[in-house]
Amino acid sequence: MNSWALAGLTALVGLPLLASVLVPLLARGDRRRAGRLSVGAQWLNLLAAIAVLVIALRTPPATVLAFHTGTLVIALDHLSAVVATLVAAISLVVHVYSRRYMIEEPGYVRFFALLDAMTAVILWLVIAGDLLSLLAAWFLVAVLLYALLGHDTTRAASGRYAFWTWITYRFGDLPLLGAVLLLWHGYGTLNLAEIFSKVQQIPQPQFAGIDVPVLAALLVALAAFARSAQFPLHIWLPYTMDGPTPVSALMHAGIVNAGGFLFNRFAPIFPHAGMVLHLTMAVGLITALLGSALMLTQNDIKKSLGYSTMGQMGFMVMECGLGAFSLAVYHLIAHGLFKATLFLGSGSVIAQARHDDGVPANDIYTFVVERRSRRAARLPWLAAVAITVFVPVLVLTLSHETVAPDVLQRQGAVVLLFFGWVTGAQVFFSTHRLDTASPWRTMGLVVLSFLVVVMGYTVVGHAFDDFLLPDRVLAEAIYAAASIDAVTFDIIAVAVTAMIVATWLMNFTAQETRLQGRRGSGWNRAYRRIHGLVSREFYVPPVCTWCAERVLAASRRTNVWLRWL
Amino acid sequence: MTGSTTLLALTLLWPVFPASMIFNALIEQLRFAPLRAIVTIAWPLAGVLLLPDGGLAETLAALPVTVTAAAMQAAALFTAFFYAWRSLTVNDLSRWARLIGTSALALLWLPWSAGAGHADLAAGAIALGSACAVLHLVALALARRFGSDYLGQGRVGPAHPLLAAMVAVSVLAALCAPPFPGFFSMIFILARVPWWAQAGAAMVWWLWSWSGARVWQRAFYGAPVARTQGRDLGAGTCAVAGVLASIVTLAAYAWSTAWIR
Repeated sequence: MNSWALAGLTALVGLPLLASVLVPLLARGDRRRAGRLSVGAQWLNLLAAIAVLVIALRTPPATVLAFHTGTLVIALDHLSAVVATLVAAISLVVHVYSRRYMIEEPGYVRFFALLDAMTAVILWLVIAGDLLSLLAAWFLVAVLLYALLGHDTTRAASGRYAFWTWITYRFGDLPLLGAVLLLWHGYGTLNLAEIFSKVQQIPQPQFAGIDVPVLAALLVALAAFARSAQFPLHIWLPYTMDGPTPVSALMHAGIVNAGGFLFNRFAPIFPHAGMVLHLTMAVGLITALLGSALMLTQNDIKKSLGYSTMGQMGFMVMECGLGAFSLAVYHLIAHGLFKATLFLGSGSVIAQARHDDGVPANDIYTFVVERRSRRAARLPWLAAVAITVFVPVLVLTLSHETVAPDVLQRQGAVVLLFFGWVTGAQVFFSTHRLDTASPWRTMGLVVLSFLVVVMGYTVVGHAFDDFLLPDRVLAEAIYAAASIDAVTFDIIAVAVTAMIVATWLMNFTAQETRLQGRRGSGWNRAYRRIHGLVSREFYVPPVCTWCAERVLAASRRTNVWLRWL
Repeated sequence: MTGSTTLLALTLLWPVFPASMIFNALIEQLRFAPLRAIVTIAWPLAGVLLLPDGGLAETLAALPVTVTAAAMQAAALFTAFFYAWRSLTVNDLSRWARLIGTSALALLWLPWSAGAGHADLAAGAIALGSACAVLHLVALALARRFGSDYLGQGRVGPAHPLLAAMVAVSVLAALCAPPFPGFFSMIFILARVPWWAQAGAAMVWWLWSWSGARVWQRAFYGAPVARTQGRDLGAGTCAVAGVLASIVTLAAYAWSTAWIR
């Protein structure tokens, strides 16, 4: 088993790495050959990833197969097997898509070489079993992402926005570097498995009077925030759309999720760092809210998609803050597949729009016949309210009670159920407002779909939790660390519920109450200012640019003054 | 040599501001690029040869005036930060290599003050200086093909793809990116110093990244260079450079296994 695992892990990194070197050498400028070679290597790589997943499934739970070469360690556990399979699959799809999509772009062979190198580095990051490998791979992801995002060298903007990503990622590398040095000093080893076994010991090593795991957890969280575009380190993400579409797909489906992976990789240190989990929850929540608000106010569809990812990342980080680490991985897989589909499908949408622009052939006919208002049939309001409020609660509670009866003992699970309730209620509310000929039938189908989705999500989610975190003591310790005292929790829950209900009421009566106020009134001016502030992204990009220009101007003056010596 | 003379010589060889200006003036005066490359590597190694047997603390204790090791570390960090910041606005690759080299070599004071051995310091100096030395040679190749204003004319890639790749990789090596030797050297330095010096050195590392990206921006983006002379780098030259880089990288990795427990 061990030799097969070692062979699988070596192939996992070695195949794409070899492809990145051989593709430019063997293709010799022949684009089709470069594409074929690269895609072929990715097929083999996916097979290796599946083989590694099978080996992981066959090993006893909580077992880590580790292989040492000098100071470098590669390790296979359930987390690395699942994420490696996801990465290999998404990379293959992106490769296949790029073969035709990029065919007219300059630098085609270079693009494939970089894509292969990126796949190799991400997979190295996933299977890294020591801190130095993890740090090196984390650094290299930023390097290769810069090269891929700035692939179109004919436009200075492409390089500029690649630079924004690069500099934010490098800034985010600093806390990870700090965490690596701290853990290394504290436990005297770079091997992750050894560190995690020593983390269980008492007393813990200390730094400046604080337990090392607490500080290390804080630094790991900060590194994850930068990579997963958490507020205020989010501004690079919407601007990465200037890169090629396959890179956007790879990034939004995979690379930006690295924050969630990092939390899971360092999971054993988080039971000691409750405050860090609370901070993570707050940052994730703020990011989710701001990302969603920014998404809704953008006129540019690409930026809007970028902010949608930011909101999703906020939600993923929030899940980590609630202690639901494995759920974050489940979320990143679901979001990755969903976003990759959106990005890779964008070309088809454009092609379809070119084929049929959707503009009616005859305006008068359309006005009279097609857009003639139908008689709106809706459910009685009492029934609609009952379904909107109670069906999600019933379905969510019953499904979770069936799968894991003790789920309501965890605060994190309660918060997530609460979010599920809000989302479900929103779905039913939107369904109620639809113009439909048979509202009962439509609502019935939506309720049925909701039931299937929630049941599926619950069963798969719990199975996934058991698979990724087989050490149930650790999983429960993380949930416990993420909890706050019952009174504070209840106060927050009531306040948030009141806020959401108020928002619903406001939304429901928006047209009648004219939320934006009368034109020229004080409220209207304030409303427009707030809208302007959000739609202009809180002025973060121009402020950052202004600060950078001041730093550069001062550097230039100093150089002239010192005659460049 | 007395303690104070040794220390003065060291501030020149492991450049600390303002003595670092002399090192920079010397490199600037050398017109022959290979000589610049040799001096970039040999200069800090000469510093290693001058090192007294005791550590920094013992050397400072022998001085007639009171200078603490922390003060020397702070001065070295300031120099590293100052030159990294100044490298942000340099349009000449050779000059950029000189400023980044000064910034990097100043960091050697940190492990010495933490008691690192002479052999490790020599390895660290070679790891930090070698990329800057290569950059001097790359700058020469660029100047021969595009004239003196080679970083302001447009992107190099279309006319000279191999040379462009060489610029990209050598700048990356100078930024101490993995798996280049500088990466191991930075980890070696950071692993030995107090937390405030770690934070400072990490910020310097970040500034290098900013600076290097500005070099890439000037060399690789925009309209292609209109006027060029000479051919692209030969495949043989690139192969030799690749083999040499791999050997140095493997040596750096082997070195790292000695001090990573």
